[in-house]
This record gives sequence, C-alpha cells and structure tokens, in this order.
Amino acid sequence: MISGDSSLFLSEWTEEINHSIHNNKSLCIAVFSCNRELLYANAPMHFLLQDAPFDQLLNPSFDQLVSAKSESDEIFEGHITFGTISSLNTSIVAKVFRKNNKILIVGGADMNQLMEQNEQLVLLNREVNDLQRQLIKEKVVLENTLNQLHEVNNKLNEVVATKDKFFSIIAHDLKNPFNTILGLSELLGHSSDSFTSGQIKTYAQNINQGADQAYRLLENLLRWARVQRGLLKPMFTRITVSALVNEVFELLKENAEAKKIDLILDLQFTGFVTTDREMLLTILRNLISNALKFTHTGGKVILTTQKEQDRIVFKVSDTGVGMTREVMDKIFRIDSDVTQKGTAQETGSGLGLILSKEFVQKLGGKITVQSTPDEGTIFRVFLPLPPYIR
Amino acid sequence: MTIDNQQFLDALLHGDRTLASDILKKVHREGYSVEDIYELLIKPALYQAGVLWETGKISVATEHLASAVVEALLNEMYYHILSLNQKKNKVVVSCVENEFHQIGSRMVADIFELNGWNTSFLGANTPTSELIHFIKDKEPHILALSLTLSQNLSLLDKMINSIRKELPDISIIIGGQAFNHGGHDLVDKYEDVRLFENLKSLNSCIINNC
Ligand code: B12
Repeated sequence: MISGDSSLFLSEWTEEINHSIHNNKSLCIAVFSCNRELLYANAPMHFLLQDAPFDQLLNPSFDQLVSAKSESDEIFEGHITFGTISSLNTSIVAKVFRKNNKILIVGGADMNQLMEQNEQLVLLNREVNDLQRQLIKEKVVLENTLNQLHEVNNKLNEVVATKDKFFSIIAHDLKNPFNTILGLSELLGHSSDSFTSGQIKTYAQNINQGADQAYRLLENLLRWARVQRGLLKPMFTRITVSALVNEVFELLKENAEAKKIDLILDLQFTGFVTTDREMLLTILRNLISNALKFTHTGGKVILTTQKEQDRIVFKVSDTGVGMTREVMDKIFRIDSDVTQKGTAQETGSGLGLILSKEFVQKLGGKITVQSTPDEGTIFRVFLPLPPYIR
Repeated sequence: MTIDNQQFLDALLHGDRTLASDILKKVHREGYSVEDIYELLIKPALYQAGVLWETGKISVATEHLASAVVEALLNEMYYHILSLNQKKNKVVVSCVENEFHQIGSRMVADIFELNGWNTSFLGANTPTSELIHFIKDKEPHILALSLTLSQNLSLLDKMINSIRKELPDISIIIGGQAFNHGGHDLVDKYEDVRLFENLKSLNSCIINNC
C-alpha cells in the first residue's frame, strides 16, 4: 500500500529512520564526493562496494554518473550492477542524485523480480530433478542390458569353444588311431606272408591299441556330447568304494604293465559313497590313465581313498613329468588347447580332464590339481559323503 | 551409529549438498534402509527446518535451498531404489492441487518403486483435471495423494469427489502432515480411501499386497 505524503508523516521519525537505514540489510545507500571519495555507505552498501568502491560500480560506472547530463538532481534511475568482469555480480534497483558536488545512491532489491525469479527457479529445479531421475532410470536399464549381453556373450564364447574342441578332437585325436589301424591292417592284409609271426603279433597288438584308444576317446566324446546337450543327469546309488576302484584298476592294469609303472592302491577309506557309478568310474579312469601317460617307465602311480570331515577324497598321485603353473591353469578349460604327448609319445585330446571336471561338478564335488615339474602331479577329487557316514 | 540430525540440518540450511550427501551415504553404508534414512534422517531435519521458519529464524529462501538439497539427495538414492523386475502393479503418486510440498510424496513414490511397483510421480500442485486425465490413461491400481497444509483439507475433499465421479473403482490412499491434527472424518466419509501415517505403515501394507 502506497499512501500519504511521506514528508508529512516521516519527518517526525527522522532519527529512527536514519538509525534503521544505517542498520538495514536490504536498503543500500551511499554518498560520494564528485572527486572520487566515498563519504558514507551503510552496511549492505559496504558489502556491495567491498574495499574498492569505484571498481565495484560496474554499470553504470562512477565516471558515467559524475558526467551524466540532467536537468534535475536525479541523474539516474534503473539497475545498478556491482562487481567486476571476473565475478558473479549483483544488481539493485536504485536512484542516483547529484547535488552540491556530491552523489547519493539509494536502492535495494526488486521484490517483484525476486519473487518471480524464485518461482521460476523452483520450477526449473523441479524439471532438472525429473530429468535427472529419468537419466538414472535409463542408466540402470542400460547397465542391466549390458550385463545380460555380457552373460549371453560369455555363453556364446563357451559354445563356440565347445564346438571347436569337438571338431578338433574328431579331426586330430580320433583320426590318428585310425591311421595306425588302417595302415597296419592294410599291410597285414596285403603282405602277411612276408612277415614273421613275431612281427604279425606286434602289428596286431598295435592295431588293438589303436582301436582301444579310439574307442575310449569315442566313449568320452559321446558322454561329453550328452553332458553338453544337458542329457546326462547323475543317477545316485549307493556304491562300495573298494569294488569301484578295483574295477578301474582292472581296466588299466595292462597299460601300467606295458610301461612298467607301479600302480598302487592305498585304500584308507573303504565305506560307501552315494554317487553316480558311471561318472565316478569315468573320472577315476581318466585321472589314472592320464597319470600313466605322463609317468616314465619305472615310475609310480598311487590311488588313495581318504575320509576328510564330510567328504571322501580320491587322490591320484604320480611321479611323472609334472606341469608348470601356466599349464595347470589351462587343463580344465575348454577354450585352451594344451595337449601334450605322453612319455611314450601317447597322444590325447585333454578331453578326459575337462569331462572329469564337469562330472565332479554334477556330483556336487570339487577337483583340484597340484604339480611340480619333473617331480609329479596330484589330482584330488572331493565328493560329499552321505550324512550317516559323516 | 546414531544419526546426527543436527549436522545434517546444518548442511541443508547452508546448501552444502556434498556434506549432506556424505552423511546420507555413510548412514546408508551403516546398513540403514531407504525407509530408515527417509524417516530418521531427512524427515526430522526438515521438520526442524519448519520450526526454524515458524519462529522467524530462517527465510523462505533458506527453506527453498534446504528442500532443493533434499530433492537432489533423493535423486541420489533413486539409483539404489530402482527395480527392473517390475510387478504388474501400478501406482500414481501426486500432491493435492495448490500444494507445493512434494518431498513426502516423493518418498512415498520411492517406497512403491522399491517394492517393484510401476510408479508414476506427478508431484507438487497437480491440477485435478490433469490428474484425472493421467489416471484414465495410466489405469493404476492405486492413487496416492499427499496433503501437507491442513487449510487444503476441503480441496482434497473436492478432489476425491471429482475423481470418484469419473473413476468410481480406483483405490485411493492418502497421507501427509495435514492429518497430524485431524482430518480423519474426511477419510471415513469414503469407501476404499485409506490413511497412512508414515512410510513404515505404508511399506508393510505394500508388502502384504495392499
Ligand atoms: C520444505 C518446506 C516447504 C517448501 C517445499 C518444497 C518442496 N519441494 O517440497 C516450500 C518452500 C515450497 C514451502 C512452502 C510453504 N510452506 Co512449507 N514447509 C517445508 C518444511 C520445512 C518441510 C516439508 C517437508 O518436506 N517435510 C518432510 C516430509 C518427508 O514430511 P511429510 O510431508 O510430513 O511426509 C511424511 C508423512 O507425512 C508421509 N506422507 C506424506 N504424504 C503422504 C502421502 C501418502 C499417500 C502416504 C501414505 C504418506 C505420506 O510420508 C512422509 C514420510 O514419513 C515444512 C516443515 C515440516 N514440518 O514438514 C514446512 C511446512 C509444511 N510449511 C508450512 C507453510 C506454512 C508453508 C507456506 C504456506 C509458507 C512458506 N513457508 O512459504 C508455503 C505453502 C506453499 C503451498 N501452497 O504449499 C508449514 C505448514 C503449517 C500448516 N498449515 O500445516 C510447515 C509445517 C512449517 C511450519 N512449521 O509452520 N514449504
């Protein structure tokens, strides 16, 4: 409300008004002499002018005010901006008067503008907030999609590696024994007359070995293919540990004898396990034939069974060639092809170990390897024992 | 740890978003849930800010600053709140017309989001006509309305009336400070309009399928 004549009503309050002006926080007031001297500034004006009053008057400048042309005492009305060209500045709405070689600046904040701008800023802030949330949401969605892609990609890589492994086994490992079988049987068929019976026997043994090798590889390959297709589910039955390991030994006895390797059974645990018989048989057969393959003539391969808390441990240790850390890291991986010939130039695909690991996992167990080059290797298979034996 | 509301309030009043955010993150790391952080850290500080305003110690500008910092913090929390495996349930959260206090309703929206609801937040001062239009399009299972100023109770009454006329079956929940000292008869007037005092009671209702 603007009403009344200010000189009439305010003249009796001069002292109070002067006091309030001096201490007021929003009314800015200053008096200068025209020859660049600050004569008076109240607190908020001090705050605006800081210690360099003539530099802080950015627009209009002090010189512009001094030289302003005017008919009356009032020489300026409008926004005065305080600050420098290198700072964030403030404006007040003010009037400037010039009288007796002095200049008076009186002004303050534009309340209308403050309120309007405040409202606009609040609305703007709201928009920015909504936008930020939308961005966060999109980011989370993207992250999630990326993770899914990553997962699918990993699976794809594994599928490709599996397929590659499959073809490489068929192309090399399975083909090799057939070369022997075909070559030797052709030789025997065409010119058996010219061989001694000793030679014929050796060739026949070689053919048998080749066929045996091919057959076992084929067996592993088919089992593995079924695992890959998710067709092979473990069938848990109660089996006697000693009977099972004896069966494995029976199968591999001849291999050991051929290489003159001492194959030793150390049965410290002889109870039952509840597991899939075929899978465990495959695991142990693969581990032991692997040990025989990498052990020199005259060496030792030992299978130990032990009970360790709630698990049974099958330990296959040999005095063979051993392997480096690097090789150890790769032997269970489908995407690596570390195949190494045995001490008697036996070939292999590395599939046996990969298959063993997959079977151990299906049986709820764990497989570990420990090895020192030129000293030997120890594979351990841990399988859970049924509760009544623990 | 105990929550230091005074330090947090100081940070809000000074517009120190970084400090406020550090305090919030620390409390979050200590294992406080989003609901705890809203109820035990943010809400008491803002209520205290209200007392400071009421007693002339701070200006509306400072109130604006404090709430701007809080909204920025709520946005920071949003990352932890978002759920991607969303249920089919939909909720629309809004303030009553003429109501500029939207932080409480933002928290309500976040609690729904945390529970996997498909959540739409309309926020402060939503005109009833626009709200009805939006609901018709979105077809939410629940409409959540927030009211802070008790002076606006009659506005809420009018609002529920108009919504019911156009959407007789929608389930409505309400809450906010306006009900701290009354307004309960308004709730009793309507069928399928429920009042919640805080995020805890809301959360247990959501968990039990509302
Ligand atoms: C920040 C603030 C503002 C900001 C709001 C900014 C924003 N983005 O939200 C601004 C500056 C805009 C503002 C304006 C005003 N404010 Co104000 N404001 C506050 C303050 C300080 C905090 C509000 C807040 O966020 N609280 C924290 C939230 C989390 O609490 P809550 O809202 O109660 O929500 C909780 C529950 O109620 C519940 N809940 C809330 N809604 C819902 C909904 C559902 C469905 C459910 C289930 C639960 C639920 O969940 C929440 C968590 O528990 C309060 C003080 C106070 N006591 O809250 C004053 C306060 C609310 N304001 C008040 C007043 C008077 C005003 C103004 C009239 C004057 C002014 N200060 O400018 C204007 C009115 C504008 C308008 N038309 O709305 C008074 C209200 C008194 C009254 N009449 O009841 C208060 C109480 C201050 C006081 N002590 O006097 N204000």
